[in-house]
Amino acid sequence: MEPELKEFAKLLVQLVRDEAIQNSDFSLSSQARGPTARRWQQAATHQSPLEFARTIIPDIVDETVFYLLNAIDNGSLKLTFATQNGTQVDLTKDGHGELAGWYLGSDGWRAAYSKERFVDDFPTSGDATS
Amino acid sequence: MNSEIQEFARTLIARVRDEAIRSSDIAIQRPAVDPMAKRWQKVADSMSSDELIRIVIADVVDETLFFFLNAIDDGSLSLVYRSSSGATVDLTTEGHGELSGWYLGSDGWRATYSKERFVEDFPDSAETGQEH
Repeated sequence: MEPELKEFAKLLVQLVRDEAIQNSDFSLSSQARGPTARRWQQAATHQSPLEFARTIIPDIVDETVFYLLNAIDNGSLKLTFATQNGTQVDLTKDGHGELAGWYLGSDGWRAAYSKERFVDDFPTSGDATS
Repeated sequence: MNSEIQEFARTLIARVRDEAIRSSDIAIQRPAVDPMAKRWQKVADSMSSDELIRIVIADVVDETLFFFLNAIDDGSLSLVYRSSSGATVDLTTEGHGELSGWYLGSDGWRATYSKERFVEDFPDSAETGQEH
C-alpha cells in the first residue's frame, strides 16, 4: 500500500473513528450537559435497550460524518472531490472551513438531502445557503 | 456554496448517512439477520443498556466509515487525497476498490491505527466475533 494511502488511513481512523467514539461515549456520561447528551439520558431511562439504540443510531452516524467534515475543514484531511462532469473542487479551500456546519445546520445538507430521521439539536444554527 | 460542493453533499448524504442508518437499523430488527444484529440482540437480552450502547456506538461509527469508503471504492465519491508531503493519490484508483475491506480487515486500518474498541465480525481465524 502506498505511503499516502497509509497516511490517509491513519488520519481517518484517528481523527474520525476515534474522535466520534470518544465524543459519543462522553454523551453517555453523567457529566455531559449538551442537548444531545440530555436527549440520550432521557431516552435511556424511558426506552428499551434496542429502542434506545434506534434513537442514537442517526446521532452516531452524524457524529462520524461531522468529524470527517471537520477534519477536512481544518485541513487535517486534504481531499479534492471530482464531480460527475470531471470538475475538481478542493473541499478544504472551497468549503471555507464550513462543511461540518453546512452538514448539521437547520437548513443544511442533512435537512435538505437526507431521507432518514434526524434530530436538530441546535435549531437555527448554521446556514447551508451561506 | 458552489454546485460541486452541493454534489459532494448530496452524494455524502445518500451514500453514507442514509445507507449507514438503514444498515444499522437492520441490526435492531428481530429476528437478527447478520452477525452485528446477533451480537446486539444477544447483549440486549443479557446485559445492561449501557453495555449495549457502548457496542452500538463503535459499530455504527464503523458502519458509517464503511459506507464512506465503499462509496469511494465504487466511484460514487471520487476523491483525491493530498498527503503532508504534497503527493496526491486517487483513492478510487489507487485503492483498487478495496478501501472498505482494508478498513475492516483483521489486520486492517481499524485494527492497526485505532485506540478505541471494536468487534471483528469476520475474523480470519474464527467463526464468531472477536472483541478488541
